Amino acid sequence: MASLRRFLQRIVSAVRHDRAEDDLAREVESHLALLEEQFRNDGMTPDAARLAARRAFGGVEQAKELQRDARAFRWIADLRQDLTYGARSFARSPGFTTAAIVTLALGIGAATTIFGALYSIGLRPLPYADPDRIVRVFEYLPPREAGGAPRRGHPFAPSQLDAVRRASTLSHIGLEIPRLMLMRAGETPARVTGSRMSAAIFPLIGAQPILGRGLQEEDEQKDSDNAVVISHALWQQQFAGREDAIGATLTLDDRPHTIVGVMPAGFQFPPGSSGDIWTPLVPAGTAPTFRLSFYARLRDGVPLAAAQQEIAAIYDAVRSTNPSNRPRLEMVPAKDVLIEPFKPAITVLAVAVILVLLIACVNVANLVLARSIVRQYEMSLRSALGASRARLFRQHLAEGVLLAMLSGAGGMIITLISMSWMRTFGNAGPRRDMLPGLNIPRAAEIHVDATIAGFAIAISLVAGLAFGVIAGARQPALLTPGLRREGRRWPLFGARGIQHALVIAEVAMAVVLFIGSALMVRSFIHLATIDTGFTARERMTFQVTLPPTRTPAEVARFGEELVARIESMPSARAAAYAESLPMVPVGRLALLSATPSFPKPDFAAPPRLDVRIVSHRYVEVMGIRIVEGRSLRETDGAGRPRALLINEALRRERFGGTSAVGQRLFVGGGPTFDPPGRTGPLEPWEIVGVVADVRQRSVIDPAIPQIFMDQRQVPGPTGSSALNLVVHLEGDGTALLSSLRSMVAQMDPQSFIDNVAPLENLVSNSYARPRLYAQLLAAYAAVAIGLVAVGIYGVIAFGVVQRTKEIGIRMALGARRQQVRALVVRDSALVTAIGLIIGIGGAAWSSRLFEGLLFGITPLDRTTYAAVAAAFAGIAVVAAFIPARRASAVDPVAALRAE
Amino acid sequence: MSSERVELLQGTLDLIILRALSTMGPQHAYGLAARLAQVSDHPLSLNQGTLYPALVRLEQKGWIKGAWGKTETNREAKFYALTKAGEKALTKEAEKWRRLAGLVDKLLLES
Repeated sequence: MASLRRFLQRIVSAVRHDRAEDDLAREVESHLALLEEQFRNDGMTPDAARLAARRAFGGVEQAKELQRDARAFRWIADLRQDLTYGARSFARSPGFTTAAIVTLALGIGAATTIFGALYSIGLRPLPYADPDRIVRVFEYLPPREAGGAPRRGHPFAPSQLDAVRRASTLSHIGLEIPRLMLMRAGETPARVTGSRMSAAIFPLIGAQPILGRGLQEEDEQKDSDNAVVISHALWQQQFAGREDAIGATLTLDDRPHTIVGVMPAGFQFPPGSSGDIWTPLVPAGTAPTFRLSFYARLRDGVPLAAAQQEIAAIYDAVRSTNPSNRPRLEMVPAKDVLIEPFKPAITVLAVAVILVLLIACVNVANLVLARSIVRQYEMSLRSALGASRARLFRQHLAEGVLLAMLSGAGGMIITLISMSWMRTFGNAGPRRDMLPGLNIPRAAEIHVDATIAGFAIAISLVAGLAFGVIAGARQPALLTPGLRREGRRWPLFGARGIQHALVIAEVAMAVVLFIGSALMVRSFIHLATIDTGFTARERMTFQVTLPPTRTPAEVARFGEELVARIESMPSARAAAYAESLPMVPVGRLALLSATPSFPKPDFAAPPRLDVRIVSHRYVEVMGIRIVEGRSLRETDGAGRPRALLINEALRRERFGGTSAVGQRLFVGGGPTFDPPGRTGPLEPWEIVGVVADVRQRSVIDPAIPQIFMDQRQVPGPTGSSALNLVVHLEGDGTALLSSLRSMVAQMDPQSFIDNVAPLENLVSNSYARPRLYAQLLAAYAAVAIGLVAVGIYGVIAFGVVQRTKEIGIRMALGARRQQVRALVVRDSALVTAIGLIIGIGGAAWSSRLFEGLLFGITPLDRTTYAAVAAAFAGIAVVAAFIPARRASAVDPVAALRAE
Repeated sequence: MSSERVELLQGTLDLIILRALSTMGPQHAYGLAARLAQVSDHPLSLNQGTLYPALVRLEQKGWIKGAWGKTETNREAKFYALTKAGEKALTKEAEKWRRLAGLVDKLLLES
């Protein structure tokens, strides 16, 4: 008890140093005064009394020193002193301090930002109760192309989920389907996103509304899904946080919905999303027949593997498979799914930031080393005055840590700025509702927490201690000789060897980084210049949403009229509409057959067909080339013979590349092509033309077989009352855009326009991630190259200063200025060459990290390697140029006289 | 070897201070030093400044408590008083000391 108390007191005293010191001084003074008084009372003269008091007391400073040792931990006081001294010494050399702190702050900031972002997306627990027990299940189907990635799918249709619900290893299961609805409130309608989901999701994730109730099973029993739970944000926006929101009506997709609950601020489901509405998944009528994503909670104590095994058995039972022909099933924690899109890049980004950090550290280490050589004299002096070697070493450590902590603070500022940027732009993109864009999951949650701050502090501390060791390690041996040589002469003792080794390491790391970034940038350029098969220039796109009650024929009629009106305007050359646009990763799948009967779908060889429901001028407006036959025509309308366009990929696959025009095909799959009320045999479609392949889902995915059909000829409902318009503009199209809204409102007051964006933006959005990676790596490489250039310059320039005398002697003995210059450049060329060779080796060795990240370029691309080598040769010469000139300008007489 | 001697000396000084405060009531450092000189055979063998580490140690252990006050001659001084914990510690430490002293005595007599 007493010793613990004392231990704590000793720490407190060290911190409250000044107060304890004052108290002690006062006490000793009063003690001396009392002694003196005593001696005077004994009859001494005042002077004698004072001396006697001193004698009786003993050494005042010694006593104080002993008391200090007993009072506080000595090392804390020493540390204070070291830090104060270090701070003063940094203040004396502001150039060194600024350079070191800025450099290191860049490194720490870059590393912390990337770590923080990856942590926020993939490692921080989801904001649910016991989140590690929440899992998802996927099946992996064979890839479409040989060598492609396996395709992930959902293993169960809703009707099969009852079997899963009975699984003994799972306590809850719930379905979720993303939902996009039109909300009419006040003047302007707005799109709101959210989910249709099982009521079971609420207990599954342990979510509690702050007002009203969550979705309940009774909501699922009704025949309409008119109950809705809303987000805190929507509640604030529409109801200003009033409690009477519960029971109020919200018009979604032109149907009244009753608000039953309000979720707390920050609530999200599915994980990482930012939806505002949650409606029940009503089984009757509206429930989809396709397979769905579901969430499950493991029963307490059940390991993941056991649950996965049970799910596989259930899969075999409901899908009539067995372990030998069952596709791979995988149960994963819900959290792990979010980081997946970034997986190929994680290692590359992590390696890149570590390299930036290391390069920054090496640069600072070189600065510290140079400074320690310059400070030789000061250290010798302190040693001569009685500082122990350990004490001097500790001084270096304290300074290193102080430097790194200041840099860490700077790095934290960089991190905070870049994180706020990520929060703002993580979700950005002209078509948030449909495009992945950057779409960083949980972007809103990216912030600095204790873990991320701890990471920054830890790397700062390690770096700081390393600097301390570097600066302090070579001190002791040199102390006395350093003092004996007068003034500023410093012994070399291999310091330049260490500096050179550091620069070589730095060059090697920068080469690896530079090659990596050059590959990424070239791959990005490849993507940006890829021929998509259509023309994006001068094309404006927008989306018109009609009330869901409109029939397909009405939607088509509306579309035709809108196109006609737009085309009548001078700022539009042509216009078309389509069910969905390119670069939007949604599409319609269908089955194709030469006969009216369709084979049963086989998941081992899934159909590869993309269906585009368009208006007749779509192909022309998009600038898609027709390679055979004709395009769709105005006359291919309702009731006319069914006309079909196919692409070259389909012609190759089905007709071996020979002419396909005139061939007939049956299109099936779902109510769109085979409406439930149909009587008589299925009607065929006649191929009237073949169009060039286009990149449809993204610029990265190569074309797959595709068919185009006129919306007016589609027999069944398409399930959507939204049209995507594309307009080939004449000029900048401002006039068109300004009158668009009123034109559409005039045609149908209940219609709604949004997602206005140039087609070019949609295209560039589809490679937003590769672009981000290329930008990040290019930025890192730029920082690294800057640091390396400064690093080489610093070491070479420092070497020139050190060798001034030697250069003076050489010149006095007849060396020409050119030879002196060559001497200096050779130094720089040598370290760069060695670093370059190591770096190229390292880059080649790490090339497999780029798997899945590069398009149109191999990771061992020779041109890139050669260009990087040439660039570094240039850097070596440029970095050595100024020191070389300075060296050749040395005046031999002055140099020899100076020392 | 030498560290053990310091340890013993330290403990002894602590015990003496506790005992002095227990018999005399609150005292300042000078008063304690005077008391020590009084009971010791060699009044000059102890520098009065050496009391300070012991005082701060005891205070941090919570056995004594210092407070500023006035002497009879109206000078300010820091007076140390024994705390409750200090009284208990004194009994315990004194007991320990007696046992140790008894043991040493016994050993010395045997040889």
